Amino acid sequence: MSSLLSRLTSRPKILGAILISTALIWIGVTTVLIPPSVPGGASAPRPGFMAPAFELPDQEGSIRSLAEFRGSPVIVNFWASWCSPCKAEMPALERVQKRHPDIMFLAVNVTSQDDQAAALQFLANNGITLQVLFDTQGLASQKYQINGLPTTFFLDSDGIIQDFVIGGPLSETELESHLEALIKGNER
Amino acid sequence: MMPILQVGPAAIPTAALVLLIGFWIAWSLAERTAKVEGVSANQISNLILIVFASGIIGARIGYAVNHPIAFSQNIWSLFSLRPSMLDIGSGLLIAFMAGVIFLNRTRLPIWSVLDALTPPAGIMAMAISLANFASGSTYGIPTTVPWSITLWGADRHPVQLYAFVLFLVIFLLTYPWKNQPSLSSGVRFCTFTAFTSFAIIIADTFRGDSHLLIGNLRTSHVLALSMLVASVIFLIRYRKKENDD
Repeated sequence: MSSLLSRLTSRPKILGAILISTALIWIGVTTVLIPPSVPGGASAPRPGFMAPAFELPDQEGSIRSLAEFRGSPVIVNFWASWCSPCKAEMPALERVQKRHPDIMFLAVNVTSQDDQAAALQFLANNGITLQVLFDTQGLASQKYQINGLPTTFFLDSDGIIQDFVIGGPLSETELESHLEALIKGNER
Repeated sequence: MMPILQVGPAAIPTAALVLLIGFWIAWSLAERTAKVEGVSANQISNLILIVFASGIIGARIGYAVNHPIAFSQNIWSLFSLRPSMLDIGSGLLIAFMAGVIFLNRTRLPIWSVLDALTPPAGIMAMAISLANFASGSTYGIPTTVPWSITLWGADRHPVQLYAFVLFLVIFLLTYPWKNQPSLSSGVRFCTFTAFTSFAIIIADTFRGDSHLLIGNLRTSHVLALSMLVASVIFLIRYRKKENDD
């Protein structure tokens, strides 16, 4: 290995010719034979993919579906009442929602790992009026592969994930900057 | 894929941890390789620090410039510690400019410095591949090969591991081993960039999230090919100069 580099670079023209010609042939052939895959209609909790569908009960017990909100950008925020950063960012989410009534904010409580009564208490104590859904079975958290809280997904009006943030608390500026990108993408 | 490492009550993002460990190893290695290339280890450390700090500041300013409305409402957010409010492109540009200014001011031999930074750059390339594997970023296209990994609802090429293996081979090839015949300044760095560009061309072919330039032509292929050509031109020049001397 110690003298290989020296030998390889002793004839740089030959090395360069081999590398460049191989690269050109490779690019040409693979561009035709191995086209880049486009996620298309596939769903996964990842930018570029469709947001995984879910149906969850709200505070009144009515079942709400993510598909209902297709047509406008959606922010899906996974949270729990025992999670300090989740609680810290909730007022920022509330204020930003008030400034953007055309954008849907869904605060999905990971109820399978939380106490629903404690979550409701927190919402009442802090005057949170966001649309809160309760993931009692943990199915939505599973579909979105939630490994840390809070986790926030930014969906465009077609239901495609444009961005996501693991961890928090999100500041208003951070939320607004993500929304700016979402709104710009929507206008295009 | 393991995006979060749960240590007791703490949830540590694995990708960030891998990058941090990679950066620490790269920095330690840079001080060692600096001596091999006859450059002051202190100056190399200062260069890394300045480039890193400038990169972070540039990335935040770039992000703020791209989101003026959000930042105009709260200018203090410029100093927020949130890593998601960084613009990588702006960060790289400002880091590059800071590096050039530092090298000009200190009059350090540029090619020797780049040679000294080659093994650390190799370590960082490997760390980025592993971080991407941990977080599931830069995922591969769907495939039926037996070594595929299930990720984002499909069996996919483990493209991050392809990149890691290629970068490991390049690292071993370009590392300044003991008893290695001496090379002219710049040869190690140019060889590294040439092989790394070639490796990116190979690995990115199997990426499922490639940005496309025209039709199915990947942007990364065009950029890597340009880098490869530039590296080969510099390599030929340096070898020619060496022979002339």
